[in-house]
Amino acid sequence: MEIDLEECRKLFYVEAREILEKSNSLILQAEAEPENLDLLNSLFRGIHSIKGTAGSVELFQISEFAHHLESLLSQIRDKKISISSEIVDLILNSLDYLESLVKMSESNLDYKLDEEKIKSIQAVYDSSSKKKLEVESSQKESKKFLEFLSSEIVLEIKQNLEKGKFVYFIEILYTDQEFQFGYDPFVLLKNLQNNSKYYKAITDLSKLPSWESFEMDTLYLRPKIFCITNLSLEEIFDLALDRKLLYVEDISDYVKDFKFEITNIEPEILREFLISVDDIYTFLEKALFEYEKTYSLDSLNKLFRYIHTIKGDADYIGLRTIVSLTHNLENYLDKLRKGVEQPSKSSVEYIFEVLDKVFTEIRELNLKLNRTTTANWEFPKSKQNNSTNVPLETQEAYLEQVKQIYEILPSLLDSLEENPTAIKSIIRLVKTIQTISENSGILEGVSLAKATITKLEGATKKEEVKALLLELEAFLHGLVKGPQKLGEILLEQKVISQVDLEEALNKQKPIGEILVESGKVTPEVIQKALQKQRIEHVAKEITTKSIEFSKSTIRIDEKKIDKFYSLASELIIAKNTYDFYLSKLQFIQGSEEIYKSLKENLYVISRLANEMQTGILSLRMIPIQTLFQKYPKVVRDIARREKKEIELIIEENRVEIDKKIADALSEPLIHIVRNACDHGIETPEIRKKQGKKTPGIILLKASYEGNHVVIQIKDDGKGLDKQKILDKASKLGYNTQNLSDREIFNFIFLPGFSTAEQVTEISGRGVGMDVVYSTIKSLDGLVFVESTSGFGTEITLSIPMSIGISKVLVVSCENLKYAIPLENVIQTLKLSPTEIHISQNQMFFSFREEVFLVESLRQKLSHEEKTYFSQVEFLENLQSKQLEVPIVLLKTSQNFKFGLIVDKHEKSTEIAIKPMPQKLKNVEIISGVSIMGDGSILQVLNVDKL
Amino acid sequence: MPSKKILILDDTQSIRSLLAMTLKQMGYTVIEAVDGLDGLEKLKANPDVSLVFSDYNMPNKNGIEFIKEFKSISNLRAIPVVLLTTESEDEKKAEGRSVGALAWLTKPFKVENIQAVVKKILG
Repeated sequence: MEIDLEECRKLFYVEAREILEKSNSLILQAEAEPENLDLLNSLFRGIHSIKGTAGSVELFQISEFAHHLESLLSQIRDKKISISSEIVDLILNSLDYLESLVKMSESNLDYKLDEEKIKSIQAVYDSSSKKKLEVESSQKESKKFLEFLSSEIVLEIKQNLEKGKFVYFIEILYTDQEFQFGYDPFVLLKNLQNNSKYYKAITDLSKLPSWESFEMDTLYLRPKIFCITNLSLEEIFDLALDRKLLYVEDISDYVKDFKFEITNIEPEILREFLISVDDIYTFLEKALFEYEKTYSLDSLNKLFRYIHTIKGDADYIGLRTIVSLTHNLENYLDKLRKGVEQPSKSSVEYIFEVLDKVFTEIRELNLKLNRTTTANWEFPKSKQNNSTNVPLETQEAYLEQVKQIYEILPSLLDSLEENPTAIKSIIRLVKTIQTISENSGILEGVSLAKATITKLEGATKKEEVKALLLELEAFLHGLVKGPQKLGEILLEQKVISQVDLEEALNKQKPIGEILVESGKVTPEVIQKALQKQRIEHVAKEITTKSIEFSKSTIRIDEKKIDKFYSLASELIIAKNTYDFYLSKLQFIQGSEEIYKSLKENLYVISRLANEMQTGILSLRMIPIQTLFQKYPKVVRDIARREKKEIELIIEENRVEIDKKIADALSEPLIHIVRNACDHGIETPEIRKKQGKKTPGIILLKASYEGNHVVIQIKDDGKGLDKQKILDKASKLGYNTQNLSDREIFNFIFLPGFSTAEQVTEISGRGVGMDVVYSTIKSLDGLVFVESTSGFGTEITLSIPMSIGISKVLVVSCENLKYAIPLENVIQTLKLSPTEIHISQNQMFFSFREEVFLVESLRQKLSHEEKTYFSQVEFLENLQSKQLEVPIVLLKTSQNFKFGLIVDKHEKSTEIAIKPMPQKLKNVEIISGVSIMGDGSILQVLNVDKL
Repeated sequence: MPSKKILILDDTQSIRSLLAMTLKQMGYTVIEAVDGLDGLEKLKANPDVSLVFSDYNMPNKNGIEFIKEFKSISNLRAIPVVLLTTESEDEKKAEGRSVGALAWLTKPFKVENIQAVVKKILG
């Protein structure tokens, strides 16, 4: 068998071209959807195929270049390189180069591979593996503080920030060694704190071991500090024994530039996010508890997936804190998965802690939206600011210990006078309170104890100490005995006597006030006592629990909705059958009463069925806002890249569309918007010259029109150049004579059509608009283009909403019934044949001072040619037969009005329109069918095509 | 509150005086020792010493040995110690580090240096 190399090469050229064209649009899509693996796979496969085939037809240079591009794509696909705009540029460039190589080879020109191009590709994928480590570690380093920086802290920092002061993130890197040799990093922290206006320490308590394994000279805690100080970086390092033992980062700029993310997010979008988090929450909790018990790989994987989902969703919206928290958690979970880290109690604690932070953020978001959630955010083991969720057993143990301490304290206090070192014991006791509070998760105890300790350090005198212990005592008292009434407290403090108390109680005013008034106590004393009471109340609250629960959303599988929707539609048809039989019943003697009642019932059923159907339909609807949400970013990116000023205005008028339609529209719309940015809006200089305002405006508008959703993309850019289009069209071999504007503009929908002189990385390749057109067509929609050179372009998409019940007018023609959607019907009328006139080959009539063209349905259906003579014949026919001609006055979705001659008007009714079966789709004037109650078939006319 | 104690070990009178004066001014009680042996005794007698300054070169027991020895006594182990060296020789620093010295002062030292080191370790 002889192989003709030339022949094979020819086949290759054709194939390569196809693949390259597809690849162009694939990479653009991939840029918009970097997570879509399918796109990347297809891209890779295409280039891989070119490489292989080129090799087999001995086009080795092409094969080599394709090989390099393939390696790059492979790394992208494997997520070793991420898709940045530079990478996309590089790929688009390479695709172009490949195409030119193909062309040159085809024209038998000599060529040599451009080494530079190869090198630029290699540079990316070679260094990607090396760079990745560096980038990761430096990224890790520089973003380290983000993990611990919540929006509350930022807010606090911002409030305290003054000129000349810096914000630092500091991490203690001391090891056990220094600690053993007598250096307590606490000293450093104290020094730091004394020099800081604002100081916040975040300690990872999960590293603390249980009592049994606690070792005295091991340093377990390495807190992270955020502080505001006017110390310089050097000065901070000087506070430490050795520079290496401290990690300091100046985050002043980050804090200054930090904007609250929450205000930049649309509430609808945020709500969607929170709803999905709600859904995941239950599973997440379950998985976490399972993992805690079993350390199973299965539960770990589940955990990983859920965290990953939350991260992705948060990332999409731009919730940075949540993203960085979940990202770090993800990394940690991954380590556990791979066995790099061994699971242990402290790993679970760590997971709990991070999740706690995540959900604190989420709780905030919910609060901001005034939203109640299904998820009980309180992770039982987490350390939060309110301890109302402490499990009962822990509470009891805690109370036991507290009780003991409470009983020892007074005697210690008393011994303070003789034995000054008792202060140490007291301090130790308070420290104990702190520790057990921490272990039980009772934060009020911790904070109170901590505060008390610091104050106690300097105290010596008994009175001093007693005063300092007052708050703590109150807390303990509240825990042990419950809060006291104010009077009791005062009584205890021996400030008032029982008589005073009773006297005061008999009056109406609050007891504190009365006592002050009667001079028995001073206001300050009251204040202090009230404070004690308050603390006791807080303590008491800890011993009671309350959980609020409210459900607001359920997630439903799309398929179920579809099923219900068809059920509802069929129900309506069945109802129509009922109608039919009912009308028959009408004529049976003696059944008037039953007939009446049945008819009434039918109305009810009818109404219910309709409501149900519309209701179900609305389940699938999503606000079009969701579709539009990523566009501002796209516009901004392009505007920045091309140094243009573009403003995107979105008018979505609360339009909702079916989810499936939204999904399908996403691509075409982005493409159109891109075009507008890229080719429509001019650079500011050009605009100024033309007297146009900067920024250029792109208007994205959605609205309802009858049964259709209409989306308009309008820009005030330079518009389409008709001449250029005509030139290109004729070059491609199309007839360019006598075309209307609309027809000229329709050329842009041809595959491969582009008049752009400069192909940019975004558009101009001629592969976009045809995709737009085919997608819209597949949705049964329409695309219209209007443009004025120099002024702008307007592209209108008209998509029919999901099939539903439509109201139609039924007409008959030649004994067959046809339905016309009521939104296309202006009115029905009857004319005498003489009122219809003919001009050339077109009939028309006048009605209410307007002139309308009129067509005959019969002619349309039979595809008769419209000539002058056929029209005359038709009219004469009419005149001889009828007194009146039934006409339906219609308007198309473009608002073009015309009349339609039918045989008879029937009634208007409601039907469920089903789309045309695939084979009959070519009959353009019929847009759907329906089955009538009596079983006969009704064809629905497509008014636009008439 | 009774002031904290600091122990100084150096065989040179003038060094001891300078250190003692500075530390007393800062409010600390100073205990002086003339060599390693003396230092050990004084330290055992005053286990509540908060900080130790020790010279490197001393008769009878040099600084390194002194530190090694007292660090092996459990109730004294955690007492921080600062080494005083004549030149900033790296080997001495590493050696000091390995036995447990937390910081160094190089002679001749200025008052600010002394104060800074004390602040770093004791606050």
